Amino acid sequence: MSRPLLVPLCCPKCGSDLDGGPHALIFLCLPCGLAIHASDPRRPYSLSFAAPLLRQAAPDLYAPFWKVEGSFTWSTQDPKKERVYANQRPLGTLFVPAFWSPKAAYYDNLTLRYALQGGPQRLDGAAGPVLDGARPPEVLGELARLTWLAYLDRAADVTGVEGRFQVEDLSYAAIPFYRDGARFLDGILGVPVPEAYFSG
Amino acid sequence: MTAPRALSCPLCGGALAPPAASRRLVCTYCGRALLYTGEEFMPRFMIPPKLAEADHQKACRLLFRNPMLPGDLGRRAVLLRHQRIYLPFYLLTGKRGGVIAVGKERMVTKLPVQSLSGGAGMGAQMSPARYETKRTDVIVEEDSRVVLGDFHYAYSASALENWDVLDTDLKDMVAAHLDEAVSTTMAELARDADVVDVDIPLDRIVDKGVGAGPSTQGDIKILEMRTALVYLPVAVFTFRYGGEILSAARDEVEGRWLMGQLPFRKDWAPLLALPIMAGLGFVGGNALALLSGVPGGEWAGSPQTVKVVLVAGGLLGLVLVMGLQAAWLILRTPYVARLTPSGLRVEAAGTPPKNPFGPLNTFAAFMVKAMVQGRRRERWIE
Repeated sequence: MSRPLLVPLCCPKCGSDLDGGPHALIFLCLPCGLAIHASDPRRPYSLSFAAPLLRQAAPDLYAPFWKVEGSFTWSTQDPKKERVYANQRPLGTLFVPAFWSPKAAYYDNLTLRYALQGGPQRLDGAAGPVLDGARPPEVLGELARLTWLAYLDRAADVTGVEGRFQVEDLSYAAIPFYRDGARFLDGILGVPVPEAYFSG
Repeated sequence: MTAPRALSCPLCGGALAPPAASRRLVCTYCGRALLYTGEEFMPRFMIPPKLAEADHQKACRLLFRNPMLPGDLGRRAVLLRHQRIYLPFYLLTGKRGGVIAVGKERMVTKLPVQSLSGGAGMGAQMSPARYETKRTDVIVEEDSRVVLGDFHYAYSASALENWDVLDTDLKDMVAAHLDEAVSTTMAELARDADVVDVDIPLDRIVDKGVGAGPSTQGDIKILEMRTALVYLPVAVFTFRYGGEILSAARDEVEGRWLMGQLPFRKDWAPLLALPIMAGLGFVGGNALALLSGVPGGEWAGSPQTVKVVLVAGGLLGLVLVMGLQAAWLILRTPYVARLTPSGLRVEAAGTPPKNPFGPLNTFAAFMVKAMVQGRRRERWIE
């Protein structure tokens, strides 16, 4: 049976209309705390708002990130590389931008920063307007695998290294950002990003 | 897959138009939020036109003053039509990543080694030392790089068969002005302009462009891709000049002339020929006057001088024949001035008619041959 061309955008839990801007592919139900991707409206993800660590004021915007938790395993025939990788500090939870920004790669890698320096600790912040999210959840496993491999590559070349990332839990986290002149500062580590970071 | 003409709300049955800018739409009857899941859906954006009518007029005046165009073009050309056209471009953005083998070059310098023979100690005899020269080798080591990056491409979505314009110029322009793009609908675009149809399938662009084959060095995959249509506004001007209909197109974002065909100024040929002929006459007359002594006096030249005069006259004649033919070519070849983003370019729009100077050319060739051969024979005799 073919999929209907129009499907109601309503929360599978409470039935109310889902929120989302014109470029959104991920829609939110703020009362229920759920995020739903357009590719699979029957599968909701839990939505949480990160509490800012640096400031108490309400943030100027919330940027959506996928919170990817899982385990990375690697194997290599080279014992020297194995020793080097074993001594690497493991990455923490990966927060992958869910908003679309073709210029994000030119600026700071917030995913790696949060994974190394500690990302949002408390996910009980006040709700607020969230930028449109679009990234499909299906690619997150591969993105996480490549993030890990890139991290290991800094320590020793990953030629011949097999890496696998097993996603264990996916959720949707809105991270606060504050305007600071012509740029924004994230409310967790205070990392500055230009305004264009959010232009999708 | 083609887009449906009308949709019905799954909740109330109300008729709805397919969405243009966003997959999310609201039913105009029951007010409920709906998601359009059609695979062919592509959000449309346009780069808003920036140039006003006064800008176009100024640009046209400036263009018509170009020395390659007829001097009276600005006065006699009548604007018949000023039309806006939107050209479609696919915008493909996404993320790709993988691990590629890059190989790492390392320079290894071997230091010179001095080899000594003979025993050590006071009495040891040192044999002549053998020196190796300093040598640098390049060693390629195995190395991989993890690639995880964004891509961002604009491709022409229309073949633009009748447009004599390089689509790379337009693609670059679209890419440079993406920040200014705003959401739009076909109805909005078609309100005051013609919209060029999309006639290049997206699959072809993806296969041959952004997803063209796996990298030979490794495995780079497209992890995600979003597609959109971006429309670039172009102003097309149609003029009447004498009995000719001329056209020129100018983009309405940066104000660059894109294409057009304008008449080439042909009076350059006689204008250039006049001073050349005058110069040749002046030089020739003075040479003859010098050879004959006082101007108007009796001929004072020796047989050697006569020979020099004949050779000089022959050469002048040759220059004259070539000049005449150049003038003929300029006058009779249907030249046009073609507008391109880099400026005006003069091109032949057709083949020139048959050269009427054929007999003259044969005569000139005979003369040259005779002069050259005569000289050779003399040398051989000597």
